[in-house]
Amino acid sequence: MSGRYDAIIIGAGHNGLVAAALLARKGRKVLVLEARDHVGGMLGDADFRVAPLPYALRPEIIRQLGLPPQLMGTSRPVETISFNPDGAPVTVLGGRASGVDADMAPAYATLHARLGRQAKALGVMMLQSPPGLGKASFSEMAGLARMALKMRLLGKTEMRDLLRIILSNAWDLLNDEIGDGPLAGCLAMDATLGGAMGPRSPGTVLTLLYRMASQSSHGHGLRVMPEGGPDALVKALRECVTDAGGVIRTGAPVAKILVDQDKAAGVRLQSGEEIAAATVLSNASPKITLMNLLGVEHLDGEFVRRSRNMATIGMVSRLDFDIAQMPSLGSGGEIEHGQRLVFAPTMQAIETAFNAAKYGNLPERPVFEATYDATAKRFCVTAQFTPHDLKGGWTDDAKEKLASSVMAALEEALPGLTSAVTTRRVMSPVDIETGYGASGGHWHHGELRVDQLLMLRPFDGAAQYRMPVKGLYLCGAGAHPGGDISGAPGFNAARAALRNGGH
Amino acid sequence: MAAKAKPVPQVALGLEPGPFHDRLVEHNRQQSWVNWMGYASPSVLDTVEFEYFAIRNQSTLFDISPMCKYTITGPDAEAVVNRLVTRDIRKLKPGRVAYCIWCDEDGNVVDDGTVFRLSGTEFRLCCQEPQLSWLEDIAWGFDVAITDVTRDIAGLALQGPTSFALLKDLGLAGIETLKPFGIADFRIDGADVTISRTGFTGDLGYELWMNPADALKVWDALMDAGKLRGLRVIGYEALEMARIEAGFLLPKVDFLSSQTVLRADRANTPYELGLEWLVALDKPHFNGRRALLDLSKQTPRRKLVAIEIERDKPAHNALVYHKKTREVGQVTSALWSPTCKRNIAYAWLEAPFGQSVTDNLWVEIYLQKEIRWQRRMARCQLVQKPFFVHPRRTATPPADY
Amino acid sequence: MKYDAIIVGAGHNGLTAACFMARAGLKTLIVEKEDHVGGAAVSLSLTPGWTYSNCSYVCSLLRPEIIRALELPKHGLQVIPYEGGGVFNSKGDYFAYMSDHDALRRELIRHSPRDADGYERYSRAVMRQCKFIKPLLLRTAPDPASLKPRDISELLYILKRFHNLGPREMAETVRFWTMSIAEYLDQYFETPMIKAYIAGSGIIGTGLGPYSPGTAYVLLHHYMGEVDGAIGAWGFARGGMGSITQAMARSFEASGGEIRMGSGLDHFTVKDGKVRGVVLENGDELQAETIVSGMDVRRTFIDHTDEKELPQDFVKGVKRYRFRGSSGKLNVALDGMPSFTGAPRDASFLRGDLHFLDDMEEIERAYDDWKDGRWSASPYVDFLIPTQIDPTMAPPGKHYATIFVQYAPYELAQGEWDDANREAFAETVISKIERHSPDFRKLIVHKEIRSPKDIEDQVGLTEGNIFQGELTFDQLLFNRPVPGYAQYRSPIKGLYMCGSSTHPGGGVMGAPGANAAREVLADLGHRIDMGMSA
Repeated sequence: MSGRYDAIIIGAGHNGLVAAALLARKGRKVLVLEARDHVGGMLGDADFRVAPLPYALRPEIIRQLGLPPQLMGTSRPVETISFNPDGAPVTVLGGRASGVDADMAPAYATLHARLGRQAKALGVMMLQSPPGLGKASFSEMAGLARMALKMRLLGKTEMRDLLRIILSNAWDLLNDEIGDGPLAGCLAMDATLGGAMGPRSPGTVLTLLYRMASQSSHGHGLRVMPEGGPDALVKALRECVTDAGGVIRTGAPVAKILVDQDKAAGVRLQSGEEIAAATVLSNASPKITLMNLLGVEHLDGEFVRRSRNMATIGMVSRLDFDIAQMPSLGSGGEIEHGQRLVFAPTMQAIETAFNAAKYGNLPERPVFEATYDATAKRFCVTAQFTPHDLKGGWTDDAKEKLASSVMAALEEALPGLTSAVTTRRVMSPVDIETGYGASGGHWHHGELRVDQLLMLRPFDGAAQYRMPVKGLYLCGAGAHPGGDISGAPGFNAARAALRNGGH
Repeated sequence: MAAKAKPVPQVALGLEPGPFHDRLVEHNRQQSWVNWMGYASPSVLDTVEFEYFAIRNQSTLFDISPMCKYTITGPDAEAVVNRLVTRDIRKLKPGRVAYCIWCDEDGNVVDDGTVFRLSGTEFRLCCQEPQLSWLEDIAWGFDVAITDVTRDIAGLALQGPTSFALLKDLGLAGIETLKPFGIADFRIDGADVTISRTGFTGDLGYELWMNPADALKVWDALMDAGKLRGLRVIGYEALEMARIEAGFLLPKVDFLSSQTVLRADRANTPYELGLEWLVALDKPHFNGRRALLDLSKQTPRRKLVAIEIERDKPAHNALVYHKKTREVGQVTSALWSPTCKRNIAYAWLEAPFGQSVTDNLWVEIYLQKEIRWQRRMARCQLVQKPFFVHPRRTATPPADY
Repeated sequence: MKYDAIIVGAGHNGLTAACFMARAGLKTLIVEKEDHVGGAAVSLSLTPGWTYSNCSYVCSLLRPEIIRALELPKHGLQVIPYEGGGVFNSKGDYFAYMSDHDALRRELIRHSPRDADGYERYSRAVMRQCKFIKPLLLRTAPDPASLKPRDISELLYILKRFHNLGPREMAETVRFWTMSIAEYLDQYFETPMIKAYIAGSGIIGTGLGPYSPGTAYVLLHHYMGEVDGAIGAWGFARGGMGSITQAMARSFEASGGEIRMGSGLDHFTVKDGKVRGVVLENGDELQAETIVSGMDVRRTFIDHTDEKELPQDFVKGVKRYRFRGSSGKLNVALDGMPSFTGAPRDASFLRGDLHFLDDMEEIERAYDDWKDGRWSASPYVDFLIPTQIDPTMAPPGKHYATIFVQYAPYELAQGEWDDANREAFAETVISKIERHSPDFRKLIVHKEIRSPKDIEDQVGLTEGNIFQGELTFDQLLFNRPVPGYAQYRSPIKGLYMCGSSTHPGGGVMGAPGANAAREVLADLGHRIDMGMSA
């Protein structure tokens, strides 16, 4: 074994890169090992990206890592067009909705602002290590206390309101405030996309708040496309690592995490090469890290059981359509580069799509979001609910069926699109699982639910980045605070490793 | 419309007859049964005193079929068992038995039992509580098969000074070479019987394992041979007396499995139970190792101790006091030992009592005399287990009596 | 007429509150719109010789502290535990839930040795949760947004109890309170029928399916009851559920209370933000400065209170409060004991709750029907024949079946709850039962069909929700019924709530009534021992 590295990061997803960058900038010798031939994980493959629509990295992380401020400063929020089969589409940008009834727009603005404040109070925990249950340290408790205080500062009414809705469902909340329709459908997509819950499932307000807690210089809850797209983000992170002396190796899949005397000792690559390091951070999902890379022989049976029980059924497929010529919207107007289209005309439509998936079937009418990349002449679609455990498996026929149903829906909004499509590609949750180390093909490496958040993320006993084998850390979306492109799990994990001496 | 199928009979209510039930019924003159894992197990057959003295003086039969039994087989069997129990099972050779405990991730004892190593890749676990899901959790990800064989194997404890002579009379060639914790296969009246030199009495004794279909045949052969050796069928109560004398702990009486407690702090660590000699912290990872490593450096919150009490009244369910005033613990098992002529008990003592403070301890005994209750404070002292030891237990070859 | 206190509605919670108040020496009156007491805990005879438990039908949740404090046994209440239960699947087999632990183990092993072990783990997990929640039932939920010493100390009490659970159990509690019953049970069991049997408790009365997060809590809500200290045990009230409220009424009258039946409330009279009395539908005016409403929060404040007297936020909260009835009920008089294809006639588990299910998916699909405004094509049925145990409800040799049905929507997507649809609904249920009990149909002598609409019209449970409002987290604890008004008081001084739409919620538990009485009496300066230890 060679001993040139202080820390090895398994996986060059954005969280792995954030963790590596922070460690490298603190003077640690880091090596990032990536199985694929590109870095950036789900953001990385320019040919067929899992996550074409990133959220902003947390501004604190951009600052601390000295990333180019353009990533947060000049990147622009993405406007959403929510398709309406019965009329003109609804356009949403932050708290502003147009194309809706005159009284709905202010109701929506009020709701958006209120949720934003509530999300911000909860968001305090994003860059905190979650407290240990029953044995929290002072600083961990201080984090919780700060969140409680922030909640209290919302005022009595809003705090009570938050405590009422926090475990509730998006369906009831949105029906109460804005009624069902394209606008509610658009919000409910935010609340459900990536998870295995329909809008009627309790817990979807929390996922909505989670999305709303994302921060950028343009405000909260916005999808933000950095200038240059995801490639710019990935490039900035990669350079941040290498500029600080970190080494990134692609095409270097890890076979095993090596353990000596109950401590992490390094990794063995699939090539057989062994690399020593006393600190190992894994950006792979918790299940893959623990059960495949580490091995259950190092873990207690109950710990393994909790890990197995973690809910990780991915429901999202990605489809790319290369098109010769973008048609106009049926309702008039053109799609612009970078715009986001949501095809969820009602919450009911989302719930109906979810119904089929509950039983392992593909919905007749999937709901989805799509972005148009004018440079590549490509329509990038993220469709749900397409279960990882699809009955009959993800055969070519199944993929074909999914692509056709998406096309049919697109055709309604963009007449003539079908004939304009030159190629189409489908990436199922199974493809995402095998390609990106995400158990169940789950975007967030595990369902974002109360029982898998904070001190329970990814599961009880594994929630503070540190794994039972000393020197091994989780730094991916499976760790607190969870998925999307915030960089927070990687950042927090690196800090945990530094606190523990992570040398 | 569902097919006009025959109704599925309802499972039996109440106690179930075990493989030896027909014979036990004949001997159970007291008609007194206790529930052991749903089986009818004799409590007292005749007279508890005589049954007890037969354990220490002649030989005795007790049906242990209700014990939970599991086989663990496959290439990873050793790894799985070693991951399960706290002892280093790699040192256990085929044909040997080891008394073991296993712990949860917090280092609390899940259960105790005996591990039989039948071959390099086959183990059998005998214990009190059902463990299937626990075993499957431990074995997840390993190449082993776990089978519940509780109902496939009948068990009979043959215990007492004449037990060896009895087996020899049956013509079991080689039984004289079977060492304590050894296992060997024999035939009795045409039936295959696996015999282990193990038991719960602290005396010379064997446990016989067989196919339930052969149970009555083996029983009859033993009873027949036992006529010359004073063999007596015994019940649970007599065994319990011998068990206490021998220094063995009984789950649900002396301690609770961490899996069954409703209050987290009622579970017990090996250090509290005085079973630290069973914990091999130096072997590779096993369930609870990290927690046990921490616990091994701490003073146990409480300790299960063996005590001897002045005078002769057994201290059943008694509270223990320091200086007669401060309540510091309670008795779990108590007995006037007819063989040792000592008033003995196990008691839980909260730290520091029983550890750094061992003097001036008293038990509070309630005595009923002609429907009037009397309270008596009796001084007690910490002593070492076991209360009863006899060289014949371990002598190989054993003596005839 | 002037009273110290008036209670509106003689349901079990109204009666419970009234009993405690009368016992404290208040001159107390109950007004009831029906000509009998009981609300949803009634025993009515609709065909000669038979008595039905028309609405609620089993007893477990009624707090033993209340039974004792109100001396209900002295006033005629007897609760008899029932012997188990079971589920029949379409393959001709069944899972029998036996109250005999060893027999249950044998039955579990018959299906899966793994499930037999899983059951031990599962039942202990539930037991630990019940132990945690039990003391909270007879306490007023603290307002987490309040800085009053009482709220803070109560909040600390709960947090301390939570903390005392230890780290593992704390995590387990969060999971239990938020997970779906399906996923929760998947951790312990593999046999679909066994999971389906248990999952039923997670959806009864609730507009959620077993796959919906939050349903594990509903299971807990059904399990936290007890019969003689046996937590999770269920029983029949001898003579039907009306015996409970009859005993309460006698207890109330024995303490000097008065009950007026036959005329419902028209409205509360409110002056200067204080309640002054009630006006009944028949025009009677009655005065009292303390009024406790056993009706749900919507009826109390939207239907019977002048909205002008109420703050806007409160009105919004009340209007938002969700009922969404999801249950129907059939009461059937039977000419004899029906037989079941799968089971021997004398099987003991038939003397318990019976179901007809293959797996949890069947329940989830039943829920999907409800979401779309249809009653379930293959409903979840909770079927009991109490007359196997209770000799008082049918002539000898004859039987009474209570059939609870989940799911049935309050509003049908197509059509109304007219007679034709009610019959069609009953036919769906009967034909499902008939598949497992071929002689069931021909034994029917008389039947009562109750859609959620009927439950609303006849019992006063809004939208037919049996819990006076959904048991989802947004309507539990300090959120029930409206955040900031979860301590039985309303914005109108002197007007209190004591129905199941207050903490801890529905079921024939009596806890909301007892808790409300405690708050009322505290406001009136009574420091009395309610005979209940917290």
